Amino acid sequence: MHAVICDPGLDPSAAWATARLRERLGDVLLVHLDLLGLAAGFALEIDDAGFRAGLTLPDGRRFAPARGAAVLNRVARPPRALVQGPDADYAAEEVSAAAVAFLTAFGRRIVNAPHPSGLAGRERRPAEWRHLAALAGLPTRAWQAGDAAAPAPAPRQGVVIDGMAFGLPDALADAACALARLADLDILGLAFDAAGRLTGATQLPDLRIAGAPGIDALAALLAARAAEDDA
Amino acid sequence: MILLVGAPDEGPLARVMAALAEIDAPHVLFDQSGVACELVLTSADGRLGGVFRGPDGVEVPVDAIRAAYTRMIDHARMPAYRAADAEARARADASNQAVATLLELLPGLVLNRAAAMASNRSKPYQLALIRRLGFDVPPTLVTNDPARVRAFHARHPRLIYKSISSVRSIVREAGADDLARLDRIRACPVQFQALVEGLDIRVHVVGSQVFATACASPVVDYRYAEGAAELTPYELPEPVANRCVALAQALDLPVAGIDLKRRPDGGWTCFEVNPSPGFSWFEAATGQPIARAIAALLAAA
Repeated sequence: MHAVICDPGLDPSAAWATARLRERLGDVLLVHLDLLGLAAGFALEIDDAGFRAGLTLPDGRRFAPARGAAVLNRVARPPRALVQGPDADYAAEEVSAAAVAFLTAFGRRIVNAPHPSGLAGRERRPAEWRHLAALAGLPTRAWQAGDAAAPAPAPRQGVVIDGMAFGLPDALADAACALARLADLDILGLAFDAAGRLTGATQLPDLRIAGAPGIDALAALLAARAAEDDA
Repeated sequence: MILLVGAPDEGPLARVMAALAEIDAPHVLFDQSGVACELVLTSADGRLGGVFRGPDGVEVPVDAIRAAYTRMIDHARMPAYRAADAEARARADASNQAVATLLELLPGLVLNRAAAMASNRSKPYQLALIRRLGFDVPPTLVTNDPARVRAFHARHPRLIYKSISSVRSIVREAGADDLARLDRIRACPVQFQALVEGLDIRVHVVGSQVFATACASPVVDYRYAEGAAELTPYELPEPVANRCVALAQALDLPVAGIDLKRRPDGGWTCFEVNPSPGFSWFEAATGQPIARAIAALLAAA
């Protein structure tokens, strides 16, 4: 069964997408991100036999990587650690590190893939995004690192899903897809100012921007990944 | 021009700086222990620009920097930063942010880039990569479930436990007292590994060169042997040395510290890869020219 990992209270876009994915893919689990590291029976095992991960959901079902099921990664923050007091910061680091490894166990069957610098994909500074965008052929503003300028308004936003651009004019679509490839992301959100210059990018875009065609693309991507053999 | 980043009295950085001076390789230091260095980093249409300004009046255009070696520290913890006025702190913050950005975007050689170094922030994440790249790894369990630990313990009578993240922890063998308080792990997962017998070998990879050091010690974690660790140069079998170089390259770490154990059965187990190895302790004990190798790699870029 496919799944969406998110905090639905903080991510209405993920909840919206889950409902529409269920229309296309059948039952889709909604897994709260705080379960990563903290659910009963959370376990990662690495040995000569391979890399296995799993946790027990509140309803008693086991959630683990499996052929035939893919995951939409909407982990927008580290899972909450239960430890308080002087060890709280240490526990937070430990839970976050365990969560990255858990998500990695899904291999190609997770969209977007996690990175140790970011649970939903590699974190990049705004300057890095703009630099990468320029290399991809997108119009960007010149920047100076450390600029404390207020974020520019972004009257145009778009989403790239599996090499298809949604919400963007044709003039930007190819370069937007190129940026997603350069960033090694299945899903990428982009924001542009009134002059059509990139102002920001995110691994966790509002999927509602992509509308029904975007959900069709996402459902197709999850189905394709679910069918892939293990690497 | 080679850019060095860190504090000048820090062991590995000091040794690399001295090695660069020995071979007359032009270099500048972005001294994070003070607030006098400035880096302005700009970009237009994907082309990096800007300038480095040192405390001695030296100026280097960013586009002249072709290699970098970093031992980045948290500049905000340095006494000079704390003693500085608000304006100087703001300048230092901006310059340190610019340096961090430059180290990710610089087209030349960077030892090492933060994105590559991040693999060590989740040890099981990195261990899974190491396993995929062909090394034996210790049987490992990360869990918050005491029953799973007991079952793991039944299969592996001697266990160690250590941090999951890059937060430094002392590797300890799980004793009866630890196993009696397993219920505490329900609040936070813990990483357990089967204790692997054998000789600890630290391998420093620098480009395609390897410097292996045997670390004999009476304790589980030789780093905390309190003077009882004996470090000696070690000749790795060529296939193992080649696999270490391949591992470092696959992790995009031209400089890496790989922790191996040579098992009594002659096999090799890899525990983790340190992406910013503090090699000076090993170099001082063995005389292996690690800093010179790093300097040569930087100078050749």
